[in-house]
Amino acid sequence: MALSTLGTASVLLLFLLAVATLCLSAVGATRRSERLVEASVQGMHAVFGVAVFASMLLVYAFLSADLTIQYVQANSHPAMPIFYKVTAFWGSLDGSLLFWVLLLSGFSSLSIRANRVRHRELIPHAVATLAIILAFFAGLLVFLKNPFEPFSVLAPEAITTGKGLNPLLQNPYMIFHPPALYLGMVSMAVPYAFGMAALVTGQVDSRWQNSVRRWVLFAWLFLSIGLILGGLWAYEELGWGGYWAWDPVENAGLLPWFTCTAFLHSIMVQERRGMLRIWNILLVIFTFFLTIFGTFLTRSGVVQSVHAFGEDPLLAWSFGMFMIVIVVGSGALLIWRRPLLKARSELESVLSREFAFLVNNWLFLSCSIFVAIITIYPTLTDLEGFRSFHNAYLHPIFKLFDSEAKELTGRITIGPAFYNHYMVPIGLALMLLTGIGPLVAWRKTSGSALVKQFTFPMVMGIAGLLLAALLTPIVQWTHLDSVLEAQGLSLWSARLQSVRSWTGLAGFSLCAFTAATIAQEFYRGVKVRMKGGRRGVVEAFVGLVVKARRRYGGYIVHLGVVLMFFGFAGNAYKIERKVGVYPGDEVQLGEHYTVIYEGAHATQDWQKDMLTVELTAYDDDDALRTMREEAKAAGNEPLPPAKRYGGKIGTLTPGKWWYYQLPEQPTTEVSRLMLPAGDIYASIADVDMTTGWTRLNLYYNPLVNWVWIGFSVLLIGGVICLGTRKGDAEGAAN
Amino acid sequence: MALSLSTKLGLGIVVAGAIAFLVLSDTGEGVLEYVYVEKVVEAPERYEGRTIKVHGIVVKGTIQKARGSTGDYRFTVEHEGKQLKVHYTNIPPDTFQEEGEVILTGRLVGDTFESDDMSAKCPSKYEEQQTIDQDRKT
Repeated sequence: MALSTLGTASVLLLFLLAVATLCLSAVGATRRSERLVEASVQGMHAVFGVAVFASMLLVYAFLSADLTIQYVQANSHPAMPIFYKVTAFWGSLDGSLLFWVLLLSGFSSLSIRANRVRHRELIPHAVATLAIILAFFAGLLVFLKNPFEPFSVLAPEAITTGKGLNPLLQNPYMIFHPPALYLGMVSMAVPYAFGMAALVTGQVDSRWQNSVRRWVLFAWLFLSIGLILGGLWAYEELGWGGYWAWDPVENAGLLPWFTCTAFLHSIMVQERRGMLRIWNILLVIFTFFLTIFGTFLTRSGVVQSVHAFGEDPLLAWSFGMFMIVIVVGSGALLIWRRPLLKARSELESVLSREFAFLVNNWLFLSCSIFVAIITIYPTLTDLEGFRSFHNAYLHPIFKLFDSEAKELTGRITIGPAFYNHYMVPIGLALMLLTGIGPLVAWRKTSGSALVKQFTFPMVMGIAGLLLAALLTPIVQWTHLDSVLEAQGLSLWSARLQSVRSWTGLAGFSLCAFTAATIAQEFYRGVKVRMKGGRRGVVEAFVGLVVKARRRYGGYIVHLGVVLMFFGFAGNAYKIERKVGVYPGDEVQLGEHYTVIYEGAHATQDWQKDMLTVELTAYDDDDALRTMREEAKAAGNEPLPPAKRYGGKIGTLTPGKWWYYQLPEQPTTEVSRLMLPAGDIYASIADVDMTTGWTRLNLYYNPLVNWVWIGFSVLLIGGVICLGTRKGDAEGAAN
Repeated sequence: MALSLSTKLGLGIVVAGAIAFLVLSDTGEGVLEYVYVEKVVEAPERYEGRTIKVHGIVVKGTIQKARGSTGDYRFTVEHEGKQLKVHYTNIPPDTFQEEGEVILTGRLVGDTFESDDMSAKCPSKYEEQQTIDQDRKT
C-alpha cells in the first residue's frame, strides 16, 4: 500500500475515532453510564495513538523523500539537513494541523488520565469538549488539508525533487519556536475543557481550577518560550535590527498570553477571597478562544503577514464557524450557571492586593482586546460593508477626538508606531503594578504598613530615575531643545514632548522600584527563616523558595520581567544608520562607536553562494572625531584613521547567502557584536562586487541582551512555580 | 463593605482620564491607507501629497538601479492593467524582483510614486515566509 493511502486512511480513522469518543462521552454522561464514560476515555487514548501513528508516517515520508505526496514534495529537498527534514513535518499548513492534532490528543489523554480519579464527575464532559475540538481539527485534515494528499495524476517522471524548507526557516530557533508556541496554544484547550465540564456539572468551586492551574502555567511557559524564540529568530535572521514589530501573527501568539497571564493572577484572588469566579471562567474561555482566533489568523490568510500561510477562504469559514460555536456554547453555559458563581466577598479597599490584581486583569484584558481589534481592523477595512459602518457610526466618534479624522475609502494598514503609542504606557502601568502588588495586603492596607512597605522601593525608584536621567544619552534632548527653541517652546515642554526618552526614563525608574520590591520580599523572608531556624543565608534562601514555590517562584518570574523591561527601555535609545559605503569608509554609530568597512569577498559551499562583508568596530568618541574633522578642515590629507585613537572592539561579518535551491531569494545574514551595554548589529542590503560599494544597515541596540537574560530568569521562576506540590496554595496566596 | 461611591467615581475619572490622554495624544502615526495601483492611477488627486501604501506587481524589464552611494531604484508597478512609475530610495528587501508583488509606502509626487519603504512577496509558490517586511520598526 502506498504511503499516501495509509496516511489518508489513518487521518480518516483519527476523525472517526474523535467523533466516536464524542458520542460515547455525551451518551455516557446523560445516561450516567460508567462503562460508556470509560469507553470514551479509552477512545481518547486511541485518538492519541492514531495521531502518533499518522505523525510518524508523515515524518517517515519526509525521511524517505516520498515525492508522490504533495506536501512532502513541496516542503522537502535532498540537500536539507536531516533535522530540518523532521521539522518540515510542521513547517507548512497541512502538516502543522496534524501536529496540532497530535499535541492536542496527547494533552487530552494526559489530562484525562491525571484527573480520572480526582474529578470523576468532570471527566465525561471534559472528554466531550476535547473530542469536539479534536474532531474539528481532524475534520480539517480529512476534508480540507490532508497532508498525505498524493498527486492526482501519477506520472513519476513529472515529479521533480522537492522545493525544500525556506532557507530563512533553517535556523535552530525555528526548530523550537513553532513547537513551543503550538504547545502553549494547544494546551490551553485542557483548562477550557475542564472549565466547561465544571459549568455543565455545576461543580464550579475552585476544585476544577486546582486541576487546571498547572496546565495554564505550563501553557503560559511554552507560549512565552515560543514568543521569545520568535523574537530571537527575527532579531538574528531578518536583519531589521529589532525583535518585535506587532506583526499580526506575532500578535496571534501574544493575545492568549495576555489573558493567560491575567488568569494566573486572578485565580489567586478566587483562592484567597472567593471573588472573581465568573471572571476566571471567562478568562479561561477567552484564552482558549484566542488560541483558535490566533490559529485562524495564521492559517486562513485573512491578515497580511510575514508568516501568513496563503489565502484559503474555505478554511477561514471553517474557523469562523468554530469560533462562533465556542462563543455561543460557552456563553450560554456561563449565563445558565451564573447564579452558582456569585462572589463570596466584596472588594473592601483600593489599597488591597485583590484590587491590584483586579487592575492587573483589566490592563491585560485591555491589551488583548486592543491588540485583537487593531490586528483585525485592516482586514475589516477591506470590506465595503464595514467601511460604510465605520463612516456612519465610528467616524463621528473619531472626529470628536481628532478633527482631521478622515472617512474610510479603502483598506488601511496599522504599523508598529500605533501599537507602541498605546501599549508602551500600558506596559509601564503593568510594571508599576508588579511593584505595588506584593507591597499591599489582602483586604486592606493600614497607613503604617504602607509606609513600612513602600519606603525602600520608592527611594530606589526615585534613585533609578535620577541615575537613568544622568546616564542615558541626552542626544535626543539636546537635539529637541534646539528644534523646539526655534519654535518658541520652553525647555520643559520640549522635554515633556520627547516621549521616547520619557518612556525610557519611566521604564528604568519602574524597573528599580519593582526590583526593590522583590528584593525586599526576599530579604524579609530570608531574615525570618534565618532567625527561626538559625540557618545560614543560602540555606534560608533555598528553603524559602522551596517552601513557598508559587510565591517566590512568582517573584523570580517578576524579576525576569523587570530585567526584560530594562532591555525594552534600552530600545528608547536605539541608534540606526542606513548608509552606502565604499571600502575604507567609516560610519559613526552614536557617540561611542565608529565602524569601518574593510572590504567584501565571495565564497561558496555545497549548499549556497555566500557574500561576506568585513567591518571593524572601534571605540570612539566625539573628541577623536573632532580631531579628525579638524584635520579634514585643515586639509591634512590623508585623515588620521579612527583606529589610531580608539581601541578595536571586534569584527562584524554580515553577509548575503544565495541557496542553490532558491537562488531568487537570497537570505540576509546578520552579524552582531555583543557588548555589555548593548549590541552593535549589522546587516547588508546590497553589494556591488566590481566597486565594493555596499549598502549597510547598522544599529546600536542598547541593553538588548537583557531581554534574553531576563527571559531566562523568567523561565527559571516559571519552572519553580510549576513544581508546586499539593497544599502549596496557601503559601502562594500569602 | 464594598467600595464607596466616591472611590468608584474617582476610579472612573482616573480610567477615563488615562484613556482620553492616550487617545488625544495619538497622532495617527503608523496608520496608513492601503490601495492597489489602479486606484491611484484612476484618482491621483485624491492621494497626492499623502503618505499611503501601494500594492502592485513589478513590471518585467523596468527595474533601473543606480550605482554608487546614491543607490536608488526606478521601476514600474502594475495592477489590473494600470501602471505607476516608482522612485525608490532605500534598501529593497531580499525578495524584491521583477514580476514580484510589492507593497510600497510613500507619496505620489506628480506622476511618480516616491517611496523609501517596501515589502515584497516572492513570486514562487512559497507558502510560508512570503513577505519579508522592511517596515517592521519605526
